[in-house]
Amino acid sequence: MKKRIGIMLALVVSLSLLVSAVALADTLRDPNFKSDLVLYSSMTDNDLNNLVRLFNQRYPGIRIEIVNGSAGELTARIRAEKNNPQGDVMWGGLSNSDGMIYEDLFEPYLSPYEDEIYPAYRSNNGFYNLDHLSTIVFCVNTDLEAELGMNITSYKDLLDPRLKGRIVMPDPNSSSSAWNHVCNIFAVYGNDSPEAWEFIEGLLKNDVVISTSSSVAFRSVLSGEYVVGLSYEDGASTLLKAGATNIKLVYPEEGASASAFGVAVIKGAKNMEAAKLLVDYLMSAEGQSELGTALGTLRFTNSKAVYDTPYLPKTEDITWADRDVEWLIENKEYVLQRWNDIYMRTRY
Amino acid sequence: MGAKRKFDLWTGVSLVTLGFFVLFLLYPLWGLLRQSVLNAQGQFTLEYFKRFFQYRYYTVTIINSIKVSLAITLVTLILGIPVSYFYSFYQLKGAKFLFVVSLLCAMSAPFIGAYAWVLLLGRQGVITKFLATSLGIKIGSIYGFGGILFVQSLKLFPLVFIYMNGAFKDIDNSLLEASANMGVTGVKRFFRIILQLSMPTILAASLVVFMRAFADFGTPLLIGEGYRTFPVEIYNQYLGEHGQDYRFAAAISVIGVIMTTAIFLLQKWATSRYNFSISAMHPVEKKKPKGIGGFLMYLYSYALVGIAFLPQAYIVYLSFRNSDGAVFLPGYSLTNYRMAVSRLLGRSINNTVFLGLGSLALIVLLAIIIAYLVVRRPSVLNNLIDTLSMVPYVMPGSVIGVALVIAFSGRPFALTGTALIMMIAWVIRRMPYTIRSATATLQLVPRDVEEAATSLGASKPKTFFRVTVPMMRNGIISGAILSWISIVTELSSAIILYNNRTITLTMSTYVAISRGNDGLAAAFAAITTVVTAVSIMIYLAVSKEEDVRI
Repeated sequence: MKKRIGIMLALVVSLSLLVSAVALADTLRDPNFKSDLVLYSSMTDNDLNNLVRLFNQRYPGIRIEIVNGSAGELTARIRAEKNNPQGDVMWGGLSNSDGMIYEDLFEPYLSPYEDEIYPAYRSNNGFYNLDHLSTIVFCVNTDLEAELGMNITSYKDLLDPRLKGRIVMPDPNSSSSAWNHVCNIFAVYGNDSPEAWEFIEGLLKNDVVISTSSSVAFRSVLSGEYVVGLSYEDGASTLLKAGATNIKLVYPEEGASASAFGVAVIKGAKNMEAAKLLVDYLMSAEGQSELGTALGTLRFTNSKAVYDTPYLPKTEDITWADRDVEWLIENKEYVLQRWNDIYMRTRY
Repeated sequence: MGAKRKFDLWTGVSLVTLGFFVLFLLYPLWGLLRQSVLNAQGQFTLEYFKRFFQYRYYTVTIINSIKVSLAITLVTLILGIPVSYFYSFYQLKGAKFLFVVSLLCAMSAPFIGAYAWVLLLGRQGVITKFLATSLGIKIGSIYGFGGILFVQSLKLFPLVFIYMNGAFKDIDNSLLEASANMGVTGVKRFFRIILQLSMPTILAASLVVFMRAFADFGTPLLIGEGYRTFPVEIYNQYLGEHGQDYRFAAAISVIGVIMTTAIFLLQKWATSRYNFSISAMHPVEKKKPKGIGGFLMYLYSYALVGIAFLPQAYIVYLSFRNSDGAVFLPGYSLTNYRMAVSRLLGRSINNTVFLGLGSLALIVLLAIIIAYLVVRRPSVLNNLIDTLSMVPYVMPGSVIGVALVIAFSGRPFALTGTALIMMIAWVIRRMPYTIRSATATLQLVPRDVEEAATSLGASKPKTFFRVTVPMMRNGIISGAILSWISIVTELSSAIILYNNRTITLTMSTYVAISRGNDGLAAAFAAITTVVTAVSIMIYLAVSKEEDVRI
């Protein structure tokens, strides 16, 4: 018995020695080790890979570690770690319609590039640096659309009975991209108007499937589980960039609008200097130009940034609607409560 | 004099164990309870509880969870008991293979199984399309109640399999011979005698499966699609992006705790009605399966295990496909694995193995102690400890995670982001398996063997370690395997507690999937399968008997 335990221990020890060697190799890869930077982000892999690569070209001594999660998961983590912050900076999921709700989590730091930012997207709370836009979009599976004999171009099309149970959207209670869509519905039909609520009720009665994750709204459309996903352009366009041929991005003809999303320094960050450098990079014209060119799927907020978006339609080709961001911030709780009431009524 | 010493030693042990639970369970729970009854202004209120019961929108979640968990428990018993019977009483060729593969099924990361089944049986699934075009069969949806039942039953039946193996091994052959002499054999003997003798284990296994199914959120998250369940609701409320309505979530958690405590007490009462002990002086001799019956046995066992393993096999296949982030491209390559290495693969494996083994060691120690306290020295104090150890069962891991963080993020503790806090979460969450099986086993160990040792002059601790524990070996080891399985696949509290230093294989898989990088997720999941297969092999190499005896 003891001999067997000895053998087992020897096996385990040698296994873990081998594995530790691999882990050690991780850390020894970067010789210009100057600072760590822990980045909390909900952005896609495409976004993050390119950001880290470009940022490290400029600052090779800063080693970035990424913690992924949805905006809700990350802010919950930051809040829970308040007394001993583990993260330094957060990118993505922080939108200009949040208002002051996360004031206690972030440093009131703004980059020196605020006056180069388009006026509509300058920081409206003193701690978000709004660097990119995310426009709402319908992610449509072209094969299934053809099977149904439809041409989906508008909100009205979403009420078509042929799409019953075949539309997916994330939960606006927990997803910033779904809330983005709700904001757009109000922008198009009027804030708190009877037409807006009538449309929402019609949509829910058409058995739209509420998913718990934002990425389902484009990934499951790609795989054919649904015909239409209410998604965001930079998520859906990464599929086009990766070579998908059976989906397309549709901007509703009644009007589309965007939320501005940003980056913020976490309160009490252990690597404060490195965090601020990342914020500055993301807000600068050079940074946004470099990143925009590398990605091709994201629109940025610095008026001096120069880049192409080959996977997105031109700004001129989209019908834009106006949003009343102030109203949305103030009434978010009321809107969500009413949304939940309608959901409860139509489903149960 | 000797009696007095025994009293002090074990009371001391009780108190220390209780202290562990007070610090790492009750203290965080207290914080949670406070949150559920205080409004934003700090005043006492029951509004959050009222809100839950007021709207069918919320109450339906707990009803759904109970319904589907009961169904899953029933189905896993129906699936798992026969295969365990064939395995224990007959010489099946390739029995070890069956055992290892069914363990692998239970060890798969929660998201991956459901995701793979969607790829196979979803609306555009590989199998769905094949059945529709070649055979004209239209199968139902993989989503909702049916889907959750299907996926989870196939995933959890190995737990029943393992538990029942332990129970069947302890049946004395002379009992079977006696019943044969009285003319009762085969199916009748199975139901009248064998099942009755293993009833404590059946009840223990049922409880384990029910709790696992109830607290699972990975599967309904992905394929629930409108069939809303309880843990997902808590998760949504707790981590929602709009300001975190954590007081409401705390209230829902409290309701859940009360519910499952009730179920646990019910099971305890049911088990207490089977008060007997047996010992396998003559373990059962396995028979060779013959004829049609034998053929059906083989068919059933291999078909069941084969179907259950299908998603994992498919994932291994996917891991070698070319991929660019979310899209699978034609052709094969090692792209996904190369990416995994650059995404902390080494560290993930390291953490999974080391932190997991450390937690397991602590779990086994605590489980043996608690089983002894509960079975041999029942008292109010020890029953309290038993009940307390089962409480974390009901709480979705995310709630435990946040409760631990809130309790231990300030000074003087400041454990957030450390390996220790993850291990604490694992120990608390996964200890119940080993406790349940150790308890069930100890109940079957007759007291007179221990008394014989004592009367021959062995001290109490010596008796415990040299006589009692070895006799509990079967139950301990099978329970330890179950705990290990669950530690490796633990997701819901690791999400909250991990950071890049303590990341595990399952967390890396989840991160890849939630970022939409399915190729990378497949690679991580495949590696998890390999690591767990290796650990099972090591266990098999070490165990005393040639046969897989647990």
